[in-house]
Amino acid sequence: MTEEVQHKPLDCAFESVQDAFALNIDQAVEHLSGASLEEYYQGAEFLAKIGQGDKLSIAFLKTMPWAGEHFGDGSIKKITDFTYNKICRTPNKPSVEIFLDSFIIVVEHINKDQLDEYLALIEYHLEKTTFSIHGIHDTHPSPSLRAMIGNINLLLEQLDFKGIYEWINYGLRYFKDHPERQEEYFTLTTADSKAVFQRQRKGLLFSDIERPINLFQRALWKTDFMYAPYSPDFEKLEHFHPYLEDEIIRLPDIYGDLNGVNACKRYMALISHIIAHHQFTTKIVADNASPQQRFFAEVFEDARVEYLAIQKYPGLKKLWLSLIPIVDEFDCDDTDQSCLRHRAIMLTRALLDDDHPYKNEVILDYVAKFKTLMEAGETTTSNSLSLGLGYLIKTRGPSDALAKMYFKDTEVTYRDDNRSMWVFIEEFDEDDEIFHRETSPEEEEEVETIPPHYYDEWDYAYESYKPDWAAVYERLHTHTDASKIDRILDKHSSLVKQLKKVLDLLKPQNKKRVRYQEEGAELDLDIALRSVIDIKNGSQPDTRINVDFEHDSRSVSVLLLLDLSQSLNEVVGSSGQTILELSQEAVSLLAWAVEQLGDNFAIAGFNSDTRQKVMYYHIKGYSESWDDTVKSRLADLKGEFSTRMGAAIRHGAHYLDMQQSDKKLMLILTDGEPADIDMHDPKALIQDTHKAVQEVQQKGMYPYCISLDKKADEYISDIFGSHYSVIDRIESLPKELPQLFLSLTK
Amino acid sequence: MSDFDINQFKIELEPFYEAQSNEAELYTAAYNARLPVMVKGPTGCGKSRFIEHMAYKLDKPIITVSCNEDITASDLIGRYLLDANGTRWVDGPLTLAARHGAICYLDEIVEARQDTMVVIHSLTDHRRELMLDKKGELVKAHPDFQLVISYNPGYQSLMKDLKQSTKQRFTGMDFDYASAELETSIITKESGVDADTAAKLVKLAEATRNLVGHGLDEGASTRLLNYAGTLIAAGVEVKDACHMALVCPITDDAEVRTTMGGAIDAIFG
Repeated sequence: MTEEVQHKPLDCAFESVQDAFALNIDQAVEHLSGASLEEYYQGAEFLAKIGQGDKLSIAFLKTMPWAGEHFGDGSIKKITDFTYNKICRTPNKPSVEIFLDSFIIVVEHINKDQLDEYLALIEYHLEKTTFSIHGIHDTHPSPSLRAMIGNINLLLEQLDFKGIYEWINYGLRYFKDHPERQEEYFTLTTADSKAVFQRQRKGLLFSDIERPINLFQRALWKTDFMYAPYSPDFEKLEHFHPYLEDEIIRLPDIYGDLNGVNACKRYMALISHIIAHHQFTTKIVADNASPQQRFFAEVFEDARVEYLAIQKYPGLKKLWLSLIPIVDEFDCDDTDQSCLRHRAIMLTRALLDDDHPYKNEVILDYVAKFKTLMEAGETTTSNSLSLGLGYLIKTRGPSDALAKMYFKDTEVTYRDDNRSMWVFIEEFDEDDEIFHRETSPEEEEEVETIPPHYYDEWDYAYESYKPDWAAVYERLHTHTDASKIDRILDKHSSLVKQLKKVLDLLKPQNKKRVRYQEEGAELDLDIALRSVIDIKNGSQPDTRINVDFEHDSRSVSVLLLLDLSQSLNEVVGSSGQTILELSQEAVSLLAWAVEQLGDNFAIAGFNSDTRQKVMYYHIKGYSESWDDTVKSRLADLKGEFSTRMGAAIRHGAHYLDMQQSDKKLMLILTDGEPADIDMHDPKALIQDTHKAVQEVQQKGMYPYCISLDKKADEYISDIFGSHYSVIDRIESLPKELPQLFLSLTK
Repeated sequence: MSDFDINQFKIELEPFYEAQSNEAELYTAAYNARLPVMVKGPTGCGKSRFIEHMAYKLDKPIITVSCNEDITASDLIGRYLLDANGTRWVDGPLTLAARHGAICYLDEIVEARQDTMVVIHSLTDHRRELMLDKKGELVKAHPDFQLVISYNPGYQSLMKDLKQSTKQRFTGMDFDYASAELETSIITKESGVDADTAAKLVKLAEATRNLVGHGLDEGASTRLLNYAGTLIAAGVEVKDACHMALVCPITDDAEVRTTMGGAIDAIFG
């Protein structure tokens, strides 16, 4: 029996607080300096006396030993003051407890000197989300503080402070006035929230270096495995290792630097290791080996395949070594914890590193055995198994079964889970898939519907993109009787004749002059004269004095994007025709004209019903010809919903960009300004469309708008610059559209 | 004209060439029958070196023409030039070779325009003669004359290919990069670098060759490996030499360069 150490009593009347004090004071004395301990007492006593009940002090007593130790003297006082001034004296007092509790996690992730930054972050969040309603004279608590602190582990682990501020600001920007949505955002459950979070993560995203990594595996091993990146911590899949299965490499979607090795190198190390397994590992039966036996067999197998890979590419050794941690040989106390992992990591290091620091005889013995075996050549996976079994027998101790496992620095991040090494003959006791789902025919149908494409949308007020904001669904347009289009063409037969004349003029396309030809169609007088002068001078004349002509081929791809919103159903003037019908006529004529020219041409329509549902209808694809199938789709045009133009332009550009031609023209036929029912600011979608137009131009396409809106002058140049025409007499559209196209592409 | 000495085109020192298989015998047989030869293969795998080597072995002069887009029929056949007394006919390289009995080697023939190459047709079939229409002379080929062209299938595109009528006048020989061991020994001998480094250079070259069609048009050639070896032998740091000779020349693609950097590290450590 050790003598009970007497502590200074806590001056507090709550019995529950005294209980908590008794539970935690030993920890506090152990971890805190004298000054901090004094702050600890004062803080706990103070918080019990401010009339907020006992909960505060209990949470405080529990967490402050850790916070005080981590952040140093003065920090407990700082936290006490912050708690009182910034939280307790505001309507946010119910969140105090969770705030204090968060320090257990916070100390794991931030440095000693980052306490102020953390407190500033919380203060910022509180200030921005606590709001008053005028007239009621009541201030409401922040709806989202609890939610945010609930995620503080993830936030601090994956983002830096700048990233957290970005994430918070985004939430504030869009959900400030909507408490429920705000809370959802800060619990990190909504798609928006996750998307913003993903973009702020520290480290290098795999998708950014997928190509170099892909080339790397091809260059060194001539393999061509696909990748399926996963988000390790985001999905809460702790200690989820990379692996290769079904020709797909699963790997973390993001890597930061580790031990001075940059993320790109880490991915290379990972790929090299996995492919080394693929090349040198043969499956062996797992059923006869216990988990511990398998564990050590895997250590030897990893070392074996790496040894073999290093024979081929010696530089890999340095790379891998830099990622294998070195632990202290005597750091693990086997009287009170299980040293399995500690032994394994030492062995791992020793097998690969010729200058390892370990003196343990069994390790040295097995390293020697391993080396002898490898130098003899011709090893297989079963050799690793027998080495693993032997090593385990030599080192096995009673502590191996202890639940407390030595874990620190025992993980080799680039290594896979070695599933490729084992084959299980008997069924698993614990099956991976808990539910064996029978796929019903309904579900299969579900798979057939194409998932939406997500596009960012520009927010002009904050000069930033809203990530994955608009969902664009692609569909083939419905169809009806194709003869309707033929009737339209008949009706405009005089116009067709006129167009034909223009087309014929365009068709024998421009000729290009090719100079400096030895043989050619005509004499190039300039060069010929120069040659004569050369001859007179007695120097060598150029004999290439002719010009030749080549056909300059027309290489144009055109996308015609039709606005199919509700407003198209309006009747125009006295004609009795709707805008839709006139558009149909115009598009038919244009399509016919383009077909005559042989240009690469596609027609698509779009409308939108909020950002969740932007529809993009294929009416004619680039590879389709102007036949009845296309005509029947065009005949069935309908006008409904709104005009979210930016998303449609981005989606159209996606396909137009893939066309192989010198010139890419995107014609947009619309009857009004971009608008949607979920956007109240009329400028927002105009600005977004402008941004989309800029993006399209940057990719080398030429957007051009044909507007049927008489009031278009007010906004259209803000969107399209000078690339637009406004057609005031909509009745003349069928005549003007083809001519406009021709003049654009002449 | 008569004092023209074709022997100036003979190769004096034996060019280093390591045979991959029986190509020397094949070529000698073709030469003995005076059959035109087309050598195909990727850049820098030793096509030109092989032809030079064979010319040396057979003790025949060789006239090499590097073809380009601007080359015209007159550049091959010859033309009238002005001199103090009026004009003077000057034979082009093809006429020279045919008249005096040399091997005429048209390097990278696809670079020349297709119609230019039609002038060689009469020399490459049973006629073995060349009409100099501007001069009004019919040159009968010397018994030692042989025509050799090189051709890199890697360039093959719609624009740059030989006419079938041209192709079908030649016997063909395929060249490729030598096997790893052979290439190692070539680099060791040619550049003076040690065998271990040479073997690593060859591994790096294989890595680049695996990337053909995935960001690279062609992998690193044996020639470039020799450059790298030469730099290393001259005391340049290995990675710098590899970057200078094997990465920088073949690609400007930043991502491919990242990959190559990784490969260099993986191979050289």
